[in-house]
Amino acid sequence: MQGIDRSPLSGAISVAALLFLVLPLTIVVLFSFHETASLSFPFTGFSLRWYREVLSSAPFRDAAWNSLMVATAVAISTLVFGILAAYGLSRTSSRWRAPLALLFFVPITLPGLFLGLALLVFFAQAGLKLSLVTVALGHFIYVFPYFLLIAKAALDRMDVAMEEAAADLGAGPWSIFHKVTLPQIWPVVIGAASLAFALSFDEFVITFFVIGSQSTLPLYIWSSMRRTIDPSINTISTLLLAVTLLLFAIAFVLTLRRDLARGRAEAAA
Amino acid sequence: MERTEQRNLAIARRRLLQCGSLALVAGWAPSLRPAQAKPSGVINFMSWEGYDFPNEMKAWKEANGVEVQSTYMGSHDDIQAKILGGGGEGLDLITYGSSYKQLYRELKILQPIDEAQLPNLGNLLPFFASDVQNVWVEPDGTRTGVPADWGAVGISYDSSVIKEAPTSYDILFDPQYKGKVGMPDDPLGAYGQAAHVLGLDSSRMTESDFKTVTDWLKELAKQTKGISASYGDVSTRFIAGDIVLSFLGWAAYKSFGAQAGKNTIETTWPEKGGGLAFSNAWAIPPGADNVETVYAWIDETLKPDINAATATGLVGGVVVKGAQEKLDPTLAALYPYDDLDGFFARSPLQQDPPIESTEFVTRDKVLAAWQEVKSAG
Amino acid sequence: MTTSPDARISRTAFSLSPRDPIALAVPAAVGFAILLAAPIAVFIAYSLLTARLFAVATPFTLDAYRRALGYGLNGTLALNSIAVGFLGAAASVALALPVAYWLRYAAGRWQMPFLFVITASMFASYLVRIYAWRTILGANGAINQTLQGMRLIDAPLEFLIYNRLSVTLALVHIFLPYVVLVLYAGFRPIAPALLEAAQDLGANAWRRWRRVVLPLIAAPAATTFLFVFILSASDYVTPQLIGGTSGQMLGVQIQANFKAVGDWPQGAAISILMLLAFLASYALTLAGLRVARLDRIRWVD
Repeated sequence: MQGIDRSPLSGAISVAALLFLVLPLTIVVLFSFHETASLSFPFTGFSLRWYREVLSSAPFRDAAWNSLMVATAVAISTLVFGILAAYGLSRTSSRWRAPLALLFFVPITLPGLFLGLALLVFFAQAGLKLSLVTVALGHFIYVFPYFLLIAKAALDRMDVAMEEAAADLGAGPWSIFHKVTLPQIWPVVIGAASLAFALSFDEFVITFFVIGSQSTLPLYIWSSMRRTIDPSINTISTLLLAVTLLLFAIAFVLTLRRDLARGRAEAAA
Repeated sequence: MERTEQRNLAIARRRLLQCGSLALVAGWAPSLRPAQAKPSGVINFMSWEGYDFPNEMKAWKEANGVEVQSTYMGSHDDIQAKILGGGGEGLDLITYGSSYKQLYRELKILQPIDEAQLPNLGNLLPFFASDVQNVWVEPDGTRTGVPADWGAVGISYDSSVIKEAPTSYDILFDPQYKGKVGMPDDPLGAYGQAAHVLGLDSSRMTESDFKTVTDWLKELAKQTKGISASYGDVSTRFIAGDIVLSFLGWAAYKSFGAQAGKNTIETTWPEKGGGLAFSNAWAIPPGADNVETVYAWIDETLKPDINAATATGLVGGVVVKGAQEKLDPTLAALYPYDDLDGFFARSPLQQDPPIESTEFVTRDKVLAAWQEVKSAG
Repeated sequence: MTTSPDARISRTAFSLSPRDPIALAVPAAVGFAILLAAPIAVFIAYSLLTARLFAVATPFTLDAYRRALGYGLNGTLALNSIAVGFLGAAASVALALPVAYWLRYAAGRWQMPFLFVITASMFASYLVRIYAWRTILGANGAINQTLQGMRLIDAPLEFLIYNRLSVTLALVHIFLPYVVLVLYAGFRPIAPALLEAAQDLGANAWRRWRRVVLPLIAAPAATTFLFVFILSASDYVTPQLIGGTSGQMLGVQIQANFKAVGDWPQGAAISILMLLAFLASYALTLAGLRVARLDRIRWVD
């Protein structure tokens, strides 16, 4: 660390950026506890009334349950398809690798508006009724590239020598996978699945177009925003934030901890 | 060695795929089942905020074990977008405004209503029973809707800032209120009211009429800080103090504001320019799967005390005989119950621009021009 | 010692042996063919069909594109979208660069907590953030109340919200964490020793940045810029909630065509034109990087 100046300017900017990111969210959380229905300062006092109101609201519970179901389905299917695809892309030398990777990463580059509309039009054409299933399908496309990115990177970084050695010793592919590969990458994979869950749980744009008559939590927030706004919307947002933060914490610890340890070792070198 | 390897690979891949598909099904199965066992009484409802009468119908809902799942729309177009976009399966109850009747009939969104299932239908006030404008009953006798409420949109204003009720729509263009005027994203409503103020009829506009109205609306848009995404958003802006006046002013803002602690949002229908009458009617879309409960709901709202309660909540008019007496005197004085026929003759219920016409400006042109209004200023 | 996969790429044509590991990717590929390729194909087809009220019909025609390109409002909205997209992307990258730099080289033990908070903020709901800015920028919002409380202003500042500024602020808030992370990852392989060497050779901070840091970070910065630009320009929720009249963007028009007007071919045509514009800018950026020879920097691990 010696030699390079400490860059106090970029340090100050970093702190400012952090405040910029965090303060608006803090205000949202703060007003979820407001004792009155006002959303402007001054903040008069704390109360749990909005939490009581929201948590006892049946439409809210339905929406939360739906989000949970969809996110679980998406996380599991992404995990299964994604691990297979990541392993396949990582361990192959076929010329199909590049085109397939391109296909899988395309959704990252497409705006949600486009994906949602294309799916809507397709489902209408195919005669598929819009429902939570269509939402889950849409989320799968959206979330898959992120999972693949992380899982494939982990598999690429892994030392294949152990896999090759196991093969030389006569182990079959499934044994190799679950006795050699999986133990090394499972934290990253679980972390990526956790990320997939969080992304699906929070998704709004695609959901907006392909959902049927039910609601998910982000959609519930959206329709709450179309009515006269009171702090209950802050409450719902805070609850949503809490869930996604928890999942993110899991993903962070599992996925990045190793990287950062290695990174710090490099930096210290 | 090679053959064993091949066989192992084959077995391994099969097992992997088996496990994979099992996990897949396990993961997907919950989403294929409904989220929870559907109680017999769930009404999937879509309309303006407030029309699901959370308080007024609470007792009836509890007595019958009915749950209402509501989606609030920002404008009527949300409904046909949902139904035609494929998401309308299971939607049980909607409302339609008088101006959307023609479109919905064209798009086949309104199921015929069986009058035999509505014993309280006879409670309707004469004007609403006779339906001179064919808003609720087709000329051939098929009923498509049951009136739920009525009112007139005018100018809403914050009485703590604007001490006296506005006497004309010119106040909306007053420079001292620039940036303090609000308006919801309701294109046909906006054109309807603007045309009425200018002495025209939005369902019969020539090209030059159309230009006059559009320019007027664009000037109005310049007085706003953006058109609100919904009526609820307008009331939010009133409460936050971001606006003090609103075009397409809805009397119900007073109720919404009161809930948030702001009691000063009033609505008036100025001498000059008047108001735009509207009436919303219950309707049953295709794809409804809980029709008996919906009929029970509609029938209940036709009772005098329920109708009086819902009208109070919406700060609107009653449609049922005997409900007027149960209203708060100030609310009852708001609407000319003694001469409903005359009132509606002067301010007829809003009608659509035609879908196709060689004479008058059509609906799609109006909607396209509205996008320009939204970006004006 | 592992051999690089590139060395082992088969020279034969696109053959696919069922024993090749890539066969494992086939299920996902099939899923994507059905859920991505097919919808896009149908969408493109829609843009070439004739419009009916909330439906489409044959014959095939270029009418939707002609109308999309000819309609003046689309041009205005497109310019707005480009302006907001550009501003948002530029502000995000400009702000993220010093932050990523500081995190990589000067943060020390603050690195982990900062990274955690920055990434965590990425998971706050998209809608919630936009809504949060309304409560901050409004006439009775946090900023105005604070400034009035400190007696710095008498009347609330009106220009803070319902315009391009508020839309850009909200979009930067949404994308900043992502940009910081990507740039941080971009800085990772650049050892401090490199920068020290530049310093030892007499370069001051500005020259170090211009000659050493920026060229090395150019590729990730450019692609991130593009990514944020595309996503910002195609946003349609932010303009509706805090965009006012001057902050309206093309995404709203697309959505209106699908929902309100019922002109699906128009909506599809505008979407595809927008997408083509994005692809073109992506290609241009890659070409620009190649010309400046900034794209081929490889790090020896």
